Amino acid sequence: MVKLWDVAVKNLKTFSRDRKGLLFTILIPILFYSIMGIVFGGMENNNNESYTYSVGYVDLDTTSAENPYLSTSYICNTIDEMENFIMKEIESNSSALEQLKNKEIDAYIIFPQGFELYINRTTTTLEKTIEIIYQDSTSEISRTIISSTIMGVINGIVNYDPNAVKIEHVEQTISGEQISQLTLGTPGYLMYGILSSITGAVILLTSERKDGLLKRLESSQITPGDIIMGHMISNTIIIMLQFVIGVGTLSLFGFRPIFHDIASMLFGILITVILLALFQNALAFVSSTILKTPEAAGGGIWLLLIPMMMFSGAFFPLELVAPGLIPYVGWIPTRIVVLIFQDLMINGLAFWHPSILLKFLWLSLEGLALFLLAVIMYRKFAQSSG
Amino acid sequence: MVLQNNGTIALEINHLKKIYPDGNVHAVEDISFSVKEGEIFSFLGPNGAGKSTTISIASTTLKPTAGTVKVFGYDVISETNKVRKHIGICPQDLVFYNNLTVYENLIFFGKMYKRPLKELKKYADFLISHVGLDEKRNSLAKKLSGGMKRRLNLLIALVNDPDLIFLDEPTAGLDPQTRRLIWEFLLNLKKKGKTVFLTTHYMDEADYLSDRVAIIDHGKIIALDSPFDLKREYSGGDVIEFKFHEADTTVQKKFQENSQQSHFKNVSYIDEDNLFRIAIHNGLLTIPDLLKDIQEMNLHISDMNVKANSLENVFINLTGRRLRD
Ligand SMILES: Nc1ncnc2c1ncn2[C@@H]1O[C@H](COP(=O)(O)OP(=O)(O)OP(=O)(O)O)[C@@H](O)[C@H]1O
Ligand SMILES: [Mg+2]
Repeated sequence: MVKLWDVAVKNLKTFSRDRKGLLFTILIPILFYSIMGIVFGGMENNNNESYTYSVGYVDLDTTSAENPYLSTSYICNTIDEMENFIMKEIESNSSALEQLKNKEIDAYIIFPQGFELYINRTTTTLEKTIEIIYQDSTSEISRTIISSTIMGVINGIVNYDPNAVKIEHVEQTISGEQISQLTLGTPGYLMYGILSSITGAVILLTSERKDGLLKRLESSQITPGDIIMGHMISNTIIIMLQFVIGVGTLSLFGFRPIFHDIASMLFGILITVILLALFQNALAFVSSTILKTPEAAGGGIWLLLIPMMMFSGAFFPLELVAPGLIPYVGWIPTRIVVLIFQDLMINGLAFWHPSILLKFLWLSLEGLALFLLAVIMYRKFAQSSG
Repeated sequence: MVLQNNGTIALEINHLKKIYPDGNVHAVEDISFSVKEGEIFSFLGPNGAGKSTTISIASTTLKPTAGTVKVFGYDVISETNKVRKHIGICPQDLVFYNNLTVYENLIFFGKMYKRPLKELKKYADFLISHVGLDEKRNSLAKKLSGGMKRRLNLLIALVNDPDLIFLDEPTAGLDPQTRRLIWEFLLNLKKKGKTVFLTTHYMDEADYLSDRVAIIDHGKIIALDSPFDLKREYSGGDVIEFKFHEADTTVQKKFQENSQQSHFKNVSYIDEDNLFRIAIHNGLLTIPDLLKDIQEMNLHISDMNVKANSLENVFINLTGRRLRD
């Protein structure tokens, strides 16, 4: 167990003495993230208003009337069937508010207590008010479309005699932050930045093999598991360094995460980076085993990097570019990482949110499976040096 | 250290065979021998003879195709970990971390064994001073001279204080002075009761250091004995080499015609060098007679070389080839 630390410390020591290597490790992320910052930083996000409106509704009404057509659910179904509207029932006010903040919905409606009795004309109340709540970033046009559609449908259903029953509505906005294009893209860029350090890992491993170092170590009392874990630890530390540089650089260009609370976000990121590093290092070991020489490995690894990068939506949001792919790429670790980063940095979820925990689980299972494969293949790798 | 079996065998190799699947190379063909504890045992053979292959298998980093290897009674395949505890290996190539210092390299490799750190540090310094690397203790390995790198390469093999040390051409390419230094160092290890298994293609090295030498060629052991006995048995005494102005066929014919002549009984012809070699006991005293006979055969000498009795002669007599450095 102690040996894996010795391996990690040795790696970091030799790494820190390789001045050029060190320089590149720091410069490349600065360059990469600066370019991302320059390209996307100045851009306003134009895409956050979709032309399909997703509208939530909270039904506070406990009364119900006999006529099935004069009901909240019938009204909402009718709106839902319209081409540009998706309606979604939400349990409570607070959860609707959260979803609105997370941009899962564009607006939500609150139906007040006694609403159904009222539209069935079984009460003597003279007036009922429903509430429609928007984000402040939603444009005037969108608000008008949403409110006029909703009110049009309700009045159409309820008031075949337009003057019989009077329904008012009030509008309200909540403040959600304007998310820049750069911030939206950041989860992908960060994932890619981490992933690309795999080339360094495979080149280091294949070089050590070529120089006979792995074989020499093999003849001592260290186990393959210790060697692999040692490399993983040092590599994870280097990844963290690059990650911090990346976040710092992107912040200069206007990256502003939206998080649940900062500790929870940082902790979630830490876990994600460690799990990605586990996966990535295992992958580095497996591909070093197959590709053998530093030359082959340094190039060959891109055969894996390119699809992992593209299908993860690191650079092009799959939701816009290829929504059809989404169901098929969800298992790809890099995709999982991008989704977790999105949850933590944009959607403002805490790391203990079930959907994030589930993703952690997936990521660790895939990383562990690959790690085991790496350990099994390692023996062959260290020995068959020429 | 606990010894198993008969208590004196450090390394026991039985019918060892290695075929590299890559190119179907028969690197080692049915080798058997054993090395006693406290012995310096050498593998002497030309390039590609199978020396490194044998060392790799015996030191647990290469799987044999057939046969068994035991180190202090432990099988290298089924009891790998027990074997590793007792051995140290100095590979033929320089293998260490260039960006660590001499001292850091020793400590790092030493930490791969279960040894108290304090003891390890002391031992590392002892080793460093023993081969004259004190001044370079804190220099990065990549900044050492070639000979210093060899010394570091050797020290790493010793850092766990192993009982059996495998050294694959430890002095290749060193200046005579450094070779001497390393030789004395190895003899010192022997004095401490360590067993050394060494490969070399330097005759003088094998001769000077070894208790016993195995001559290996094309993956087979062709002779195994103490240097003294090998020379007595196979060298045929001193060797005198000639080159002639006349065509080789002419010379060969003349030697055949005079083969009843006592001097010419042991003439051998080495094709690759156009050399005629004559092995004679007490060669130096016989030279005047030999020259007279050659003159009488009407041959004209273009070059002549006298080689005192050596393991090189043993090799040439056994294989008909020279063992090149
Ligand atoms: N990894 C390998 N794959 C295929 N063939 C190999 C491999 N390693 C060695 N060989 C072959 O096996 C034979 C024996 O090689 P080995 O390295 O054991 O020789 P050696 O006696 O150590 O030679 P040298 O004095 O040059 O070091 C050679 O023909 C060599 O080409
Ligand atoms: Mg060799």
